[in-house]
Formats: sequence, C-alpha cells, structure tokens
Amino acid sequence: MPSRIGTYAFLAARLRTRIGKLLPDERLEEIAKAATVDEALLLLRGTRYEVLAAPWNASGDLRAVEAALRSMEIDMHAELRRDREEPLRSFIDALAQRLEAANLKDALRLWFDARFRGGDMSVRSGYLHRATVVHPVDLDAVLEAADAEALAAALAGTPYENVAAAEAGRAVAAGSLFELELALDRLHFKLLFDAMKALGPVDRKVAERQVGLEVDLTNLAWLVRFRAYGGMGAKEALARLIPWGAPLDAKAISAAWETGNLSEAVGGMLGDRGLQVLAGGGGNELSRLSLIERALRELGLVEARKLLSGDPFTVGVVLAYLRLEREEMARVRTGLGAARYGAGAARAREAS
Amino acid sequence: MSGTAPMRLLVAAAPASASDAISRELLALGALDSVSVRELDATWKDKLRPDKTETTEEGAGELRKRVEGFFQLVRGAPEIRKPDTAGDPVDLAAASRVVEEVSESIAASRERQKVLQDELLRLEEMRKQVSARFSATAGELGKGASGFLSVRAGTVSRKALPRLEAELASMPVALIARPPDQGERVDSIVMSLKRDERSLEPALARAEWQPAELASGSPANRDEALKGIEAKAETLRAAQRAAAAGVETAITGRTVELSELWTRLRVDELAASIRAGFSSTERAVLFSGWIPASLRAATEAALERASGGTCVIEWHEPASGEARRLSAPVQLRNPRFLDAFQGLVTNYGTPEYGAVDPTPFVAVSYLAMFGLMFGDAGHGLVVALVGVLGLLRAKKRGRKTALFELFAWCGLSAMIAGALFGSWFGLPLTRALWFDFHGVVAGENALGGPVRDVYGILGISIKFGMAVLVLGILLNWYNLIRLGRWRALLVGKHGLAGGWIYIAGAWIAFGFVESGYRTLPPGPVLAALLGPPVLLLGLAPPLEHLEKRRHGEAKGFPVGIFLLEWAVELLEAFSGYLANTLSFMRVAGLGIAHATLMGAFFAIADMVGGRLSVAGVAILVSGNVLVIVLEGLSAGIQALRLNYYEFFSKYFTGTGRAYRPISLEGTGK
Repeated sequence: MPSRIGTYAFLAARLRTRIGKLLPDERLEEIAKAATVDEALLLLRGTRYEVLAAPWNASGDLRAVEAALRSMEIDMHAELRRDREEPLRSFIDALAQRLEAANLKDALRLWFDARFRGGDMSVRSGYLHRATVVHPVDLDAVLEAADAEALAAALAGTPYENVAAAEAGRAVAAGSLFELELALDRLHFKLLFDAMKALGPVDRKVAERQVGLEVDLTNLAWLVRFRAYGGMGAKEALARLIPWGAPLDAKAISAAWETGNLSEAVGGMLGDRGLQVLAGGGGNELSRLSLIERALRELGLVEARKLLSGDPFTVGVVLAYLRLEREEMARVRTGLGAARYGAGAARAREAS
Repeated sequence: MSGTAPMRLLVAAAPASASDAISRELLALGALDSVSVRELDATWKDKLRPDKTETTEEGAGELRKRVEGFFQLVRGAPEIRKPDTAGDPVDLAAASRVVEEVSESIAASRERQKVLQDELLRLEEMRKQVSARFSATAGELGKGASGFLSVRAGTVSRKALPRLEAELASMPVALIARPPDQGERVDSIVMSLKRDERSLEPALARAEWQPAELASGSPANRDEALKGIEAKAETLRAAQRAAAAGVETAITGRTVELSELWTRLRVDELAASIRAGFSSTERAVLFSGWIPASLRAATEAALERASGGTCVIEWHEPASGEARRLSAPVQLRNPRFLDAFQGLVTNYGTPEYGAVDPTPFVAVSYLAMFGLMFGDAGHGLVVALVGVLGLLRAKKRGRKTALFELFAWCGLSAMIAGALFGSWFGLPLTRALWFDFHGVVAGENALGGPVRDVYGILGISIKFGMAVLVLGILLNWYNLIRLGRWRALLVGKHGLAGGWIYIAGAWIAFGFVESGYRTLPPGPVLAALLGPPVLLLGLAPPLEHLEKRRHGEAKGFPVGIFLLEWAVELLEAFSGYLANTLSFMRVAGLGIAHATLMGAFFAIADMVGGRLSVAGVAILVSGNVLVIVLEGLSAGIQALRLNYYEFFSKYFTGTGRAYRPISLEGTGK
C-alpha cells in the first residue's frame, strides 16, 4: 500500500485549493433570488458553472442544465480517481456509485411510468447520463425492458442485477418503486463499506466515522419521511433502515411513532442543534420534517468541514471535498430551479 | 513635495423641500464623500431621523442591475449618454413594468425553445427506436419491433397524400410513401411512438388510410425513415435557433429605451445614496461630507442653486470644529501618466491625510530598480512593445490598462539601463554609456570603466539602496513635521535619532571597508557619532509612557521595562537598517543573473554549431524569451518588494482613508 503522504500530499493541496474556490453563501443566495434563469446564470459567469449557460441558451430547458450539472459532478469523481492507486481508487468508485444509482433510479422511474402507467419517457430519457459512471449499465436496455425479468436481465453483470431480480417483480406488483429504491440506497452503502475494508487503518477509521455518520443521518431522514408519507408502522420502518449506522433507540422511536412526535424525537437525537432548529418551526409535521432534513444536512456539512482541520494525509480530505462540492452543486441546482419558478430565496434554501 | 489634496468638511442645512434637488446637484458635482450628520455629534442621534425618499437606493439599484443583466445577456453594455441629474426621478413602477416586459419576452422565447426541445427529444427517441429495430439492409417490417415503436403499413389516397404529409410534418412521426406511377392508392408506412398512435388517427382518417399487407416490393426503408426524422429535427433546430435569437431581439430591439432607463436609474440610485447620509427634522434637512478645498466655491454655487439661496453652509478644516472626531479622506492627485504607480501605492494602502504622496517617488525608485535588474535595451524594447500593444488592445476593449502601462514604463527603463550598460539582447551592439555590465560579469572587462568586477556592481546596488532608505527617512521626517508628531520625529526609530544612527553607521561602514576591513574609527569618535542617537532612542519608551499617564492610560514609571524596550529598539534599529541595506544586493544579484543567463545561452548556441546556425538561432530565441519572462517577472516582483518593505516601512503608514465621492463616474462606495 502506498504511503499516506505519497497518496495525499499533492491531492490534499489540490483539493483544498478547490475548496477555497467554492462559491460564497451570498452568491448562492443571489442566484436563488434571481428573477429568471438567465439572470441566475449571469451570476455564475466567471465560475466553473458558466458552462451551464450553453445548454440553457440552446434549449431553454432547465432539465438540460440539470443534466449538465449531473455530468459535471460525475466528471469530478472521474477526475479524482484518475491517476489514483488502489485502494483509494476503488473507494472513490464506491463514492461515485451514488451518482450511478441516482441515474439508474431516474431511468427506473421513467421505465415504470412508461411501462405501467402509459407515461411518456421520450423527453426525459434524453437527459439521462448514458456514459459509464462506474459499472457498464445499459440504460437503453433498462428503458426497453418489457417486464421485471427483462429488467433484471438488462442489469446483468452489474451490482444492480440482484437487487432488480429481488425487488423489480414486487415493485410491479405493488405499483410502486419505493422498496426498489430503498434497496438501491442500501446497496450503495454496502458497496461503500466493502470498499472501506481495503483502506489502510487510518483511512478506514476516518471513512467509517464519516460514512457512518452519513448512514445515521440518512436513517433519521428516512424515519421521518416514512412516518410522514410511508403509512407504515414503526417496526416496518426500523426494518428498512441501512444496517451500518449507530443503533437507534427502537423503544423511543416506536413511542414517538405512535404519538406523531417523531420529528421531535429525531430532533432530540441530533442534540442541541436539532432542537434549536425545531424551535423555530411550525406545528405541522411536514414543516418540521423539512426543518429536520435541513438540520441533518447542516450537520453533515459541519462534520465535513471538521475533516479539513484534522490530519491532512487521510481520505478525510477527499470525503470533505466531495461533500462540500455536492452541497454547492445542490444549491446551484435548487437556486436555478427557484429562479425558473420564481420561488424566492427562502423556499429554495429549504428545498435544497 | 506632492501631498494629499486639502479637504474641507461641509456641514449644511436646507429646507426639506430642497432635499432632492440638493442631492442631484451634489451628484452632478461628484465631489461629496458623504458623512452622516449623526456621526458629528452623538447628541444629534436622537433628535434627527433619516431623510425619507420615495426612490430608495435599493429599489433603483435592483432595477438598474436587472437592466444591466439584459445587456450582459447579449454581451453588450448600456449606451450611456450624458446623464441628466436635473430630471425628474424615475417612476419605479413604470420602470419595473418595462423590465418585466423585457423579461417576459425573454421568457416567452425560452418557453418556445423548451417546447421545441421536447419535440426534438421525441424525435431523437424515435430515431433511436428506428435505428435499433430495423436492420440496415432488409428494411423489413415487423421484425424486432420495439415495445415503444409503432409501425403501421397501409395505403392512403394519392390526392390526400400532400395534406397528410403537411399534417404529419410537425409531429414526431416518420412517413414513408411510395406513390406508384399509376393508381389512386399510395403504399405508405407510418412509424411513430406508440404513445402518439391515437393522435395520428384523425390525420390518417382524412387521408383515407387503409391498413394493408404490403407487397414485397414496398419495403419499409429504415434509411428513408431516418432521413425524414433528421430533416424534421433540423427544422426544429432552426426554429429553436430562431427562438434563441428572439431572446437577443427582446433586448436589442429596445437598446435605446433600456440605455436611457439604465442611466436614469443610475442617477436616481446615486442621488438616493447621497440622501441616505442626510438627516431631517420636521422642515429641514441636514447633511455633511468632505469636499476638496478646490471645489468649495463650486459646491456653494451648486447648493445655492438647488436651495434657492436658503441653504446655510459651514466649512471646517480637518481635525477642527465639527471635523475633530473624523478622519479626513485622502485624494491623490497625480498626472495621468503616473496612474500605474499610483495603483502600486494604493495597492499597499492609502497615505494618511496630510502626509506625502509616495507616487512620484515610487515611480522613480521602482523604475530605477527594475532597470538595474533588467538592464538590456533589446529585452526592454520587447517588454515596452508588449506594454504598448496590450495598452491599445485593452483600451479598445474598455478594460483596465494599468498593468500594460507599467509594462511600457518598465520596458523604457530597461532600455535606458541597457543603453547605459551597452547591452542589446545580451550583445554589446552599442558602446556602454556607463559600464559594460556583461563584460564585468563575464570577467572580461574589455572596456574598463568605473566598475571592474561584480563587487563593484554589488557596491552600486548597496549605495542605491542606501539612497532609497535615506530618502524614506527624510520623507518620514517631512510627514512627522507636517502632522506635528514631534516625539516620533525626535526619538523615533525612523525619526532624527534613527536617521542619525543610519547615516553615522553608513559612514563608519564605508570607512571600515575602505580600510580593507581592518580599522574602525577611534572609540571617542564612535561614541560621538552613535552615542547621542542611541540615547535619544532610549527616551522613546519613557516619553510614550508619560503621554499615556497624562491621558490616564498608565501608572507608575517602570524603569526596567523602559530599559528592556530600549534594548529591543536598539537591536531592531541596528539590525533592521543593516538588513534593509543588504536587501538591496538582490538588485545586483538579479542583474548579474540576467547577464549570466544570457552568457549561458550564447555558450550553448556556440556548442550546437554556432550562433547563426539553425539550432543556435533557436536556442538564442528561446533563451531570450525565457530570460524576458522569468527575469522580467522576478525583477518586477523584487522591485515591488523593495518598495513595499524597505522603502515604505520608513515613512508610509497606509492608514489613510481613501476619498470616495459619490459621483456618476463610479459608485462612490
């Protein structure tokens, strides 16, 4: 295994320079307040996001811009893995697999909509990212699949084959992709934890902590969503969580589930920060859900920034960089959406 | 001696009804560096309220930025005509309507583009389906038909065919028709996405469609289908381009109107920012700000016009009257050709009000340093040309020119130095007017002269450095006298005591060097030379302490601390001056490196077949480019460092506040 200094010395300097060039909050706020997408894109001139103006000017379609943004994020991972040696390379692939899974989920939604609900996928399928992200997923074969079996066959040779074989039939029967999508999310974390095993002891410790935190935050967000939208019981909800996170107090969750105060219970689990956020919220469970998700996101960012103040020669700098970049891209995406639909800054911040 | 422009604090009162007119007159004058009246006296805070305006800076500014955004979309800029400050304020509601109209036109074009984009995507999907499902040669029906692709074979009426083609032209459908030479019916194949089947029914019905088993002579031709799809796609793309052009037209079609609107909004925005500093009572408005003394009469005339002679005006000198608690802003007034050097000064900081303006001194010192480090007329010519060409290009594009002006000046300085050293691209093409720098560095010294070896060059740079440092000390004395800081003048490290130490130290050092590093002056002489200034420096801590005691900021008389501070101050003075002086050796170092590099490239060229061989020329050209770029960058940076650190540290505090009037020239912020 190469030395940590040899692996990270130059990489850390490069990534920190890029982190230093992230857009300031004020600029992201201005973008969200812009009256039109054209005006929002003007604010991105002189930044690396100015390339987003080209698909907008050519098509007037915000989905083209969002597709370009997704491609930027995928390219960022590809550039990061280039010239990297194992095991870091495989770990970065595992991180990039999140984007591949997101792309696949989009394709599955289109497929399901077109196959079983008579929807029109011809427009949106044009914006799927067709190039290989990590695994050779043939999205055209996925979209063409005649049934659940054909879908699993279309994903042969990829880690998604087994998930599709297990869940696609049930999804068709249930008329919902909910369980299939949850299974894909669990697969992502499984692949991530598998890739972590090959890392050196210091890197593994940092990665386990950071990814473990992300699992916890995802689980908490899922719990709140299951309660608000899922219509399932506490036991069913707990059974669907990602298994690699910190153990949750099942009794407290179940109790809060019954009373409908789950957002408060989750807020309590987040400590002071969660309760502070909830204190400013309304009585409506959905609005409290939104606040909780924002708190969870902010926690993730705080932890990512903490990684930058630790040992510079660990995978922490890569994790911090990708997390912060993801956040920035999400805010740009949401800001452009707000400009397109005139939502205003506050709603954009909430939604991103 | 060039100093900062004299300023006066204006404090005035006028009827509230004249507030708008006054703000516009002051904007037209473009000279007011606004001060809030409530800053002048703390007791006024509660008695005065901000002057209310209908047009706010934010409101007008927001609209102005949106109009600017329109111009940026078409990569243009508002055509700014002469702003009319005397006009009526913009009706913000009407201006907002204009902006929204343009915005809606743009949105409509974008919406049209999106609709066309959806059609294009449908066609692309069809194209993929057709390509995937039909082999290139057979073109047979039915084989491998896609789950999403619908392929229908039949016949249509010959008479109805043109109408059918027209109706299907705007749909994501491929129609392949093979009209026979005779006969009323035309074999046709219609390919579409299954989703669109129902929407085709009416058109097919009108064309008297009849499903049919086509004869083998009527193949479904994949290539023809793809050609048809591509033709439709190209039509859609052209329409999309036209829609995109509609975005530009929405703006360029109203350039004059938008330019005028921008100008009026800008005037209102700036007038509102001036009024933001006004304070008012029931019927009066009070305002204040700094004005250059040279514009006092013009200001009074403007206020008289605006207020109908009812304005009451007071003027205050800096640090007196109402201005005693405020720091006067600093306006540097230098000739246009010194702009690049003024930029170097303001990049470091702003001089204190009343202190000397370093710009002309920096111009001379910077160019002298650069010339000494980059002394080659040929290289200087190249740098000067780059500067001049860059300057012309930047002016044409409306960009900043300061950097290229600096290049041009540095090039000129290098050319003069090159003439003095007799160096053109490293070659002695002309006789050295001072000494042959390259010859001295190479140890040849063919022409003899005042400098015979590198030690001589080092000596020149040391003496040059000493001259710069002494100039800095003298400028500091001048500043301290003008600002009335007598204690610092007498006992400060860069005051009389410090200057005395430096000059005496320099004299001693030169004597030591001339004696062959053997003899220092006798003890009594040393004591007489250095003793008094050293003692003076020792007075600095107790004098400062006494000053603080007078203001109640200190107690007692800690002699031990004074002695310690004295020792540290002495150490800093001696080591600082020595280090600063020796720092100028880099001037010699870079000059020598410049000559040496050129010598190395000539040697390499000789080794590869001579300076006139192809390889030799290539080496010399690339070598010259490398030297110009590397040495030019080094010399520029080192000259800047020597100015900023060694020179400025003697006299330039950089704690002034820049004069920022609210004017139509800039934002005033």
